[in-house]
This record gives sequence, C-alpha cells and structure tokens, in this order.
Amino acid sequence: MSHNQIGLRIDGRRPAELRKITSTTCVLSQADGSAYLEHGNTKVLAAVYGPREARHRALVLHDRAILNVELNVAPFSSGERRRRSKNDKRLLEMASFVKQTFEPVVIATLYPRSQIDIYLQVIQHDGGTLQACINATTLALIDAGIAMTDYVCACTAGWVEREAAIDLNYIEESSDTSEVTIAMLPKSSKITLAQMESRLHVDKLEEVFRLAGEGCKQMYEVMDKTIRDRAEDLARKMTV
Amino acid sequence: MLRKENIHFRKTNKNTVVKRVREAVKVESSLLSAEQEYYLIPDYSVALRYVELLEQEELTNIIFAETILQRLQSEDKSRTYKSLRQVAKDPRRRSVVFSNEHCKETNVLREPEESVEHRDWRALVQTAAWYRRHLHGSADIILLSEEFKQEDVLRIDDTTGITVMSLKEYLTKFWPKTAVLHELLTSLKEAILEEDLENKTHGSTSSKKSSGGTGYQEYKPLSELEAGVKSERFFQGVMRVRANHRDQAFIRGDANIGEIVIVGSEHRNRAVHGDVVVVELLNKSSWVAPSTHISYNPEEVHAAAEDEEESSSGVRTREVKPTGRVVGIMSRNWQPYVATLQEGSEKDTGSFHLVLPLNPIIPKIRIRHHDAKVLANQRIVVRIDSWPVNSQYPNGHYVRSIGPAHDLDTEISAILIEHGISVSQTTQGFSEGSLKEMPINTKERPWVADTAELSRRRDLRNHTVFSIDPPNCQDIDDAISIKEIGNGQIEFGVHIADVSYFVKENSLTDLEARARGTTVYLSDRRFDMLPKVLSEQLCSLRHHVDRYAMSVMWTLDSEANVLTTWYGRSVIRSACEMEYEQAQGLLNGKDVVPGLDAKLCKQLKPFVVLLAKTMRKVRARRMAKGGLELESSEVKFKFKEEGGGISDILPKQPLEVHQIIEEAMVMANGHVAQRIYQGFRESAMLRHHPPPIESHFKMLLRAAESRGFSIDTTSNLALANSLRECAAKSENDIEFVKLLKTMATMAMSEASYISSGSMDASKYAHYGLALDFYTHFTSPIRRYADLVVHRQLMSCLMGSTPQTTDNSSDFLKNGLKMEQVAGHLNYKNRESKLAQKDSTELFQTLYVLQKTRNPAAVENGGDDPEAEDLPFTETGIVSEIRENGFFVFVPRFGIRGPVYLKEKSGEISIPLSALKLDGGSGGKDHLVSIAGCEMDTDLMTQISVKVPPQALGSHASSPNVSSLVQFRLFDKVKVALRLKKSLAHRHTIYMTLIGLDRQGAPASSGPGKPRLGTTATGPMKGHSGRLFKKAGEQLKQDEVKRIAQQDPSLAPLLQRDLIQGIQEGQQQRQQQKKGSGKNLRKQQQVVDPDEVYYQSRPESSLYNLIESFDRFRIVESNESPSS
Repeated sequence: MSHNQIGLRIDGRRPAELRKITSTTCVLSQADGSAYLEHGNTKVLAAVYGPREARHRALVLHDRAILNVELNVAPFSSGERRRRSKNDKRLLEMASFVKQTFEPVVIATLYPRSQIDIYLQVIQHDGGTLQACINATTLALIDAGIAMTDYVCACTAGWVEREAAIDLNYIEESSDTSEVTIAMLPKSSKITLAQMESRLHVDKLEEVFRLAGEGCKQMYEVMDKTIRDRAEDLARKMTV
Repeated sequence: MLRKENIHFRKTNKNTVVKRVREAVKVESSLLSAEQEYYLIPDYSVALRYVELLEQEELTNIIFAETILQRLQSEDKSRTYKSLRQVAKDPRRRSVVFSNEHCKETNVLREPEESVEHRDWRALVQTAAWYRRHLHGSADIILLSEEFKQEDVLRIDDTTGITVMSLKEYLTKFWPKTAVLHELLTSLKEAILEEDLENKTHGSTSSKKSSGGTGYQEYKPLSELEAGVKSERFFQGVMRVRANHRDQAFIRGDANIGEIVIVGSEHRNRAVHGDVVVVELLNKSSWVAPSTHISYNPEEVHAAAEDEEESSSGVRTREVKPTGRVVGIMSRNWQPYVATLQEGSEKDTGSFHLVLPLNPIIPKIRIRHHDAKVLANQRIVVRIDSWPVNSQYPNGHYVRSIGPAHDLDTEISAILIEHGISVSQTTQGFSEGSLKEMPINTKERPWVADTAELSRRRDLRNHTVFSIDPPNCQDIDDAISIKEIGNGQIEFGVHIADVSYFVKENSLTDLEARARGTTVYLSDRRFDMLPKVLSEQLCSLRHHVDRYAMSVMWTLDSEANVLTTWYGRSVIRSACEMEYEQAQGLLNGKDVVPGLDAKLCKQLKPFVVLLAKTMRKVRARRMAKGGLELESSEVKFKFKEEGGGISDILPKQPLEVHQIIEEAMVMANGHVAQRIYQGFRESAMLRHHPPPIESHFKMLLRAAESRGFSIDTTSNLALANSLRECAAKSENDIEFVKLLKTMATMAMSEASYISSGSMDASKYAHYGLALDFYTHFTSPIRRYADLVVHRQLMSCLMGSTPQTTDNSSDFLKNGLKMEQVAGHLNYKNRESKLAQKDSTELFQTLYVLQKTRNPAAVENGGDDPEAEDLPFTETGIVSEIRENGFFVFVPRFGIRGPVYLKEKSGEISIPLSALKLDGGSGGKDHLVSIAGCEMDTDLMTQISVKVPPQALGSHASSPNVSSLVQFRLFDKVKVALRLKKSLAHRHTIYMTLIGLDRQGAPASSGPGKPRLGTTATGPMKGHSGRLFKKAGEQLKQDEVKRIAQQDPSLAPLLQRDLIQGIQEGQQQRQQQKKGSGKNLRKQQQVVDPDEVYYQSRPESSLYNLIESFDRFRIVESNESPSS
C-alpha cells in the first residue's frame, strides 16, 4: 500500500527519510520555555513552566524536582472532529511516557522541592504524535534553561509493506503496521524510551531499531540547529 | 542497480572466526541504456491511447513520468496503467518510471486558472529539461505528444535538445521501414476516431438510459455496485461463458447461492468471458435450467469437450438455477484475440467489418480497416477497445495478421497467441546480451569443465550413471546411479542437470527464462525456455562427457528405507543415454536390446534390474499411503518423412520403466521439498495438490454405479483402493478402466506451485502423490520452478542461516515475491499445457482430414464440396450422455467427439445398423436412418431410442431387428469420424453412429456391458440370460419391469433369469476379488504423475487461472501508490 514499485513510500519518501521538520522555540511569552514543532503535518506545541514551587505539598520531594506532564489533543487535530476528555486513558498514558522519558535526563537534583510543568498541545495529528511530543518537550526544556544531560530525540520506525521505514505518517500507521517509538540520547546513544504496541517478528526487530536509531540521530541534527540558531539570534540581539 | 552488502562474523567449530560477506545486487527495474541517442517521454494523450504502440518491443528507453501514471490511476485506467508498469518492469525494454512529482527539481505546482492538462504538460517539460541537464546534454529528449507542439515547450522553458513529436513524426523519423509499427498506429488512430465519433453521437442521446435495438442497459455507477455487493443485493464474480452454449454464461457467487446463470446477450450486457462482473438476480419465476444438450454448433462442441466440469457439481441436472443479469463491470479482461473476417465481408465497401474470434465464446468484434480484401481468409489479431451501450458488438481494432487460415504455421501461431506465449519464445530468439552470457561450446572451442570448479564438486565420475528418456531426447534433465554397497545396503543417486550453475540469478538469461516459465512442447515442435547451448549441450546430461549435476544420494537398506541422504553439487559422466523401450527390454530379461551394443547392455542390465527392484518397493509404500494412479489420454504423432503429413497417431505405450523413473523422480522431489522447507520456512517453492471437492466425484460415482461398482472417495487411499478394485474386476475391459480413471482425474483439483509462507503448513500436502511435501526439482532445463528450487537447495546447503536479519530483496527469501513468481509459473504452465492440448487437437483434426479426404475431390480440382468424404470408421466408447446424443471417445486416437441422435430440427433418427442385433457391420445399413423415433434419457448413464414399428417399414419383419436401442455409458459403438469444416474456426471432429460394436465386448467382461432390451422376437431365453447375468441388480429389475409390462407372458421367465443372474454375478465377483491386485500394472498409463493434474479439468482450471491471476494483480496494485 505504501510502497510503490520504485521504492518510494505513499507520500514519496524513501524508507529512511524523515518528513519535513520545522521547529522554533520561544513561541509563548508567558511560559518559561516553549517550542513549536512540525513533523510533516503533525504539529505540536510544548510549554514548560518551572522550576517553580510545587503546587501540592504532598508531592514535594525534598532532594529534587518533580516532573508534571499534561497532554492535550485539540478536537480539530484529526480528520474527524472529536473532543477528548482530560482523563482519556490514551492521553494519560502518552503523558506518562513523556514523563518517564525525561525523568532520567533532566537533572532534577539541581532543583529540590520544586516542580517542572510540561504542557503539550497536539494541534494536528498525522502520525507519530509521541515522537513529536518528546522532541517538542526537549526543545521547550532547553528553551526554559532546565539542566539536562543531553538532548532527547525520538523517532518512530515500523515494518511497512515488508520493509522497515521510519517516521510513519497516519496512513502508514493505520494500515495495521507494527510501530516502534524510541527516544535516544544522541551523544551516548542511550535509549530512554522504547515503546511498541503491536507485534513484530523478532527477526525484523533489529532492523527496525537500527533505522529508528538513525532517525533519532537525524532528528538531533535538526533540533540542535534550531537551538543554535535561536541562541545566535539572541546573542545578536543582545549585542545590538 | 542497488548493491547491498551483508557482513557477518561466524565462529567455526575450530574456534576460528570467519568473516562472511554477502553481496546482493538487485536489479529492481532496469536502467536506461547509456548508448542511446535519445530518450522518449510520452505524454498523457499518448500513454492513454497509444499504449499498445508503447508496448511494442522496438520502442525502448522510455521514461514514464509519475505524472501520467498518477493521472491514469486517478482516471481509473488501470489496464493502461498496468501495461505501462509492465513495460517499465521488463528489463529488456530499458525503460524507467521517474517519480518527477517527488523530485525537488521537477515538481511543478499548478498555477491559478491553469488547466490540469497544461500543468501536467509543464511537469513533463520540466522533467525533460531536468534529464537534459542531468545527462549534460549528451542525449536528446523526445516528448511524444498528440496534443502539444514544439512551440508549447518554448513558451515554458527555453531549452535545446527537447523535441516534441507526434507519434507519426517519430515513427517516420526513426522507424521509417518498420511497417508493423506504422500499421498499428493507423489502426489505433482509426479506433480513436471512431470512439470520438461515438462519444459525440452518444453525447446527444445519453439522456436515454438504454438504447433501442441492442437491449443493453447502462452500467450502474461504481459506488452503487460496491454497496450492492456488500449488502449482498448483487453478486460479484468472474463471468465465464459456457463453452458449449454461447448463450449461457455464469459466475460463481458466494457459498449460499452457488452458481448464477446469465442467459442471453441482453442479460449479459456487454460483458465478455473473463470479465469481473456484478450480477443482479432476476425474479425467481424467470430462473432457468442450464442446458444439457450437445450444441449443434460444431465449433462449440470442440470447446465443450474440454469443458466437462464447468458446473460446480459436475452433474448435469435439469433443475433451475439462480439466474441473473449483469448490472456492472468491475474489471475487464480483454486480451488480444485471434479472429477471422466474416465470410463475404471483404466485398463490402465500407470500412467497418465484423470479425469472428477463433474462440467461439468471444463475441464478434467490429473493426475498422480500410482494405478488407487484404484481411480476407487471414487469421488476424484483434483487440477490443470499447463496447458502447448502443452497439450490438464490441468495437475493436486490427493489430496484425498472422497468416492464411488453416495454414499449419498460422494455426500454431494462433494457438501460441491465444495462450499468451510470448513472441520471443516463439521465434526462439534470445537477446544478444543473454547469448553473450552463455559459455562457449563450438567445435573449435569445446567447453571443458573448470578444474577449480571440479575440485569444489563431489566427483561421481567413477559411478555408473545412466539416463532413461524417450527416444531422441535432446534435453536430458535427469540421470540415475545405483549400486550395492554391502550389508544389503544400496547407494542410490538421482542426478539433475545443474542449470543454476550456468544461469545466475537475475542474469538476462534468467529473466528471460522466468518470463517464459517453461519449455512449451507442441505436437511437432517445441519452444525452449533456455538457449540451445544450455538445453541441448552443456546442461543436458549427455553420455561420455563430464557434466555438472545437482545430486541427491541416498543410502537405502534392503527394504528401500532411507538411511542417509546427501545433497550437493557433483560432476558425473553418463555411461549411456537409454531409451524407455531399451530399458524395458533389459528389465524383461533380454540380454541385448536394439540400439545398444552388447557390452553396454551386459554392464547396465544388473543396474536396471536393481533399480526396478528398489523402486517397486518405494512405490508400493507410497501406494499404500494413498498414492493415486491416474490416467490421461495422451497420444503421439508420427509424421511422414516427406510431404509433411501425419502417418499415424499412437497412444502412449505404458511401460513399467516409466513408473520406475517416475518413482525415482518423485522420491528426489519429495526429499528436496523437505530440505528446502527446512531452510526457507516462509518462501520455499513447493508444489501442492489440494484434496478434490467431494461434489466433483458425482459423475465418477454415477458412472461406476452404472457398472455396479461403488467408489469410496473419502480419502486418497480409499479412492485408490476402489479404483484398483474396479480395475481388477474388469481387467478385460481396459478401456472402461481407462475412462473411469480419466473421470477420477477430472474430479481432481489442480496442483500448483506455492510459496510456503503463503499458506498454512497443513496445506502443503500433495493429494495425488500422497506426500506431505512435494516440489519440482528434476527438470530444471524445461521448468523455471525447478531452477528456483535448485537455488534454494544450494542456499540451504551453503549453510547460510535463513534467519539472518538482512532483508535483501533476493527473492529466494522473500515470501511475497516468491508467491508472485509461483503465481506466474502456474499461469505459464497452465497455458503451455493448454497450448499443447490445442495443438494435439489440431493434429488430430488434420489426421481425420487426411483420412477422409476423397481423392476424387482432389482430382476434380481441389475442394469439391459435392464430393462425398471417405468413410473413416473406428470403435469408440460412450463417455458421456447428453439430452440429444452422447460423446464418444475413440481410444485409438485419443479423440473425443459428439454423436447426435436428435438433429437440430428436432428430428430423432438412428441408423438401421444400430438396430440390428448382430452388430450390423456389413452392408450400407448405417446409411439408412430411421426417422420418427422417440428418445428418453436420464442424463447420466443411459439414453434410449424407441423406434415405432411403422417407421421400420420393411425391416420390421426381419427377425434380428429390435425396436428399442439403449446406449449406456461405456457402451462400445462404431462411429464414423467426420470433419465439420469452417473458415472462421478450426475444423472440428464430430461422429456419426454406424452401429453398436457387440463383438468388441467379450462375454466375460465383468458386470455390465452393452445391453439390448427387446420386446419383439428372437431367442428370448438365451438373450435375456446373457443380459441379466452381467447387469447390476437395480438396473436388472428396472429392465424386467419394463419388459414385463410390455409382454406379461414373459414375466415369470424373466424373474427366474434374474435371480439366477444375480447369484452368478455374485459368485463371479467373489472370485474376482480373490484375484484382484494381480494384474494391476498392465493398465497404468505413464504420465508425469504430477503433471496429469493439469490436463484434468481445463475449464475449471481456467477459472482457477483467472482467480490466481487476479490475486497476482491485486498484489501488484497494492504496491502501487494509491493516493
């Protein structure tokens, strides 16, 4: 379905090709850090507040900060308008994935007794929401100046039409493919998240993982450039 | 070309580490050739309407832009789309698809107010310009367009080297002398002109839903059809026209409804045989029963003879079936058809002509041609373009002429075209590139085995290896070695030509062989799959020369159980090319056989005897597991030395050696199948044979019942046993047994190649051979599947673990690709078998033509229609009963033909000779036919004709004439073979009854034989006694009742006879039971045990073919972008 005879996927990409990625940081003035990220037609807005004083006393940890992730999907994000409740299990699960991904990376011990809030808004959904959320969060955290050991870059890969491919779009995702999302620390190549919901033959797993890893590296290039451009921009503004 | 490297490290047993590099080069699609001076880019107008021209092999180096392919898809021209894809796929055409829409430099956005056509044109120009830049101006780009001109390019982009040409200009410039192309272009242009014209006229009348006269209806919109099929209001299926009744077609609906009949051209609504149609059921009151007549149209009967199992039940009944009409067409299956101009049409001055396709189930086609005189009496290739609602016949166009009708070469070309056997195969031509890949073997430079290669192979040159084949066999695939190695153990080897050594995967020769699929054997010629240098020389296991082989060596114990198996490459030197007859001679104990010298005979005899001994054991074991021995009526033609006539038709002689060789091959195939399945769980090329559908046996059961046998069809073992029992009980009546076995064969499903990943492991079994795994390994010279199996086996033996993670596109490992290849090979094999069958029929017809041609007519200057044909009388068996006659099978020639008892006018007549009790062989009795008879039939087993006494006239007084004749299944009859001549179709054989052949049936021929009921005079007691001794109990009672009704005084006499007869019959049967199994071998016909399933049910296999082909296509379309 998604590969034609000359080896291109349904949207004309090659198997190891990412969609077009646009990202900017510092898009919201109220938040401490924010980022806007587009993966092809998947669009995510991330806002980071904190570190700030924890809301609930009970949750406070005396030696480090706590992460709080909230994910929201806009009713107009997909083809069919649908309002999701805040307690939608899928959303809560995805939020907890993001939280788990960042907990080992954010150096929380620097911010004891505080809380870091991450708010994610999916504006448009075209496959790969989780990877987009993670990538946007990374950018927003960096924008907020929160200490992290490394970037966290996420990428999906799957087995589409008997071939491994990365960064699946909505059509590829929905045709019963097995999809893996991994989040990686590009400098050390450590994986902080590997998530897969459907079945994939063990023979194919290695290939899919390898491709996803390569996708993360590509992702890193793009994200790093965004951050550096932004920093340069700021530096120039300050000198003027 | 994509190169892929796969490196992995392995620790060997000796604890050393070995680095393995596997390089896979994939030739997914070919590349444009670098030497070409210009490349072609067709635009949408050309791609849409002149696709056939683009399909011509002369045109190479075509760039298909994604733009036009996308547009073809979006406008639902999937047939054109597929043809273009096919061209791009064919590596010999050097054509590519360029996805210009996805290339940054060639993507063109539609401007405001710009038409789609114009934007697409701009995209093409952009692509052309890009190619020009990309190639640094080394080649010209020609844009083929019928709509746009040179100035349209300049307006957009200022580039040199891009030329816009119409097809006409292009052909005139580059192919001025190739008349075929020009002709095709003209005929395509005409077809388009006509279509446009029709669109205009049709446009004005389109408000009318159906047009008057033709009775056709507009098709319903696709969305409605799809919804209807989903909601089970409509039914979808492949429409097939009944070969024996052009008026009736049917589709196989779902399980609940079964078969749906479509009667009449109005209900068929412009669908052609093979189309996927959507059918709406008619009101129950208008349902009809399918016809059970033999068609009076002889050319239809020709097809009908092969159409036995077309109805799913296999039983002809008179009950009504669901009847429907076509409301829409999902996809057309129009192919090139061979046709002939309708007689007399050449005199018409107009440019429209009707042509009659050779295949009677295809409707007449209207073509446009400026000069009909050229086409008169020629076989021409025609394609259908469209079938507008207001036209009685479909519109088509002339493609090319094959030659004069009824010319032998023309007819054979026609067979090849109808079965899709490609031109390159028929011209025997291999491309230059592929011939360059071949090793050299000339007189000056004979090929010698390479020393390095020899060292890699197991040297079996010291073994005595020999081959047994038909006389004059050029392509020797297999050879055998056998010897005793002490302890009662036997070393037995099957050596197969190592074609995979010479033909590398994805080489040009390999691609060509894959496309051809199989060597096609026709009655008088053959079309090779591989170049001659391989098939007849280097691969062929000739004697006294070193040859590379793939060997399977077994160690067997004294009971022929396999102890060890070794597979691998070897080098052999055959001691002798034996013929079947010679081997049989040695086996029969002769010390010297003709054609072999005495020394060799002495050397080989013990091996042949040992081989036979061993293989008998193996065979017996397989038979005990349920292997079937089936039958097909194969004949061979003997040609005259000069003058090109057929001197004789010989039925194939069954010899025990055939079985022995066959068993050895089955053994090798079975073992190899298991081995490759171990290595390739998901993609092993296997051959399976599904169990038959129970209902297909009905015909066989009824036929056996009519002779008093019962057949158990619950499993292959049960079936084999009951058939064996029948054979044992009627060993004097070989023809009956043969026919019964043929019926069993017809009930079989079709064996086919599969990729093991494509279905459940429980379905791999071979029903007919009673093996769990089977494949084709033993004939790589003539079958491509075997070559694939060889490669898979080699790959298994090389030890590369199949579970490696590389996902190279190497199709040995790719289940999906393997499935496609298997589908393709199934299709090719089937077509080749059908072509073979057609050619056999053609030569049978020729033979009858020779035999019946009246010399007087020839003297009178050619074909004098008045001259009476010479009589050509033969004995045959009634093989099937129909409402108005029956089919007779003449085993001597393998010919089957219809005998009509009821004429087309409804008149029933029967020759006087048939009524005579003494057989009526003498005199001119068969020319005197008695009219005004009454006829009755039960459609399965008997047909009877009652002659009114007054009609008998003067003959009524004669004492040995009866007034009731019954014909039962398996009765022997004397018939005269005749030929119905036709211009538009092939000549067809039919038969006229001469009389019953009573001498032919010996008195002891088991239960049941030709019977005569009589009410008149004659030696009553003796006659009825003879009658009832042999009849089945039920039948006897019927008989008695009927006779008793007619003459009550005879009743007590008959009753006594009956009881006596039953007792005798039982005794006889018990005696026979004891002796059963003794004389089995005598009656087996030798065919490749597996290949027989092709011949079995041609019509249903056509159905399978369409289905498998469809699946094949769906897979393809899945791969295409469907955005």
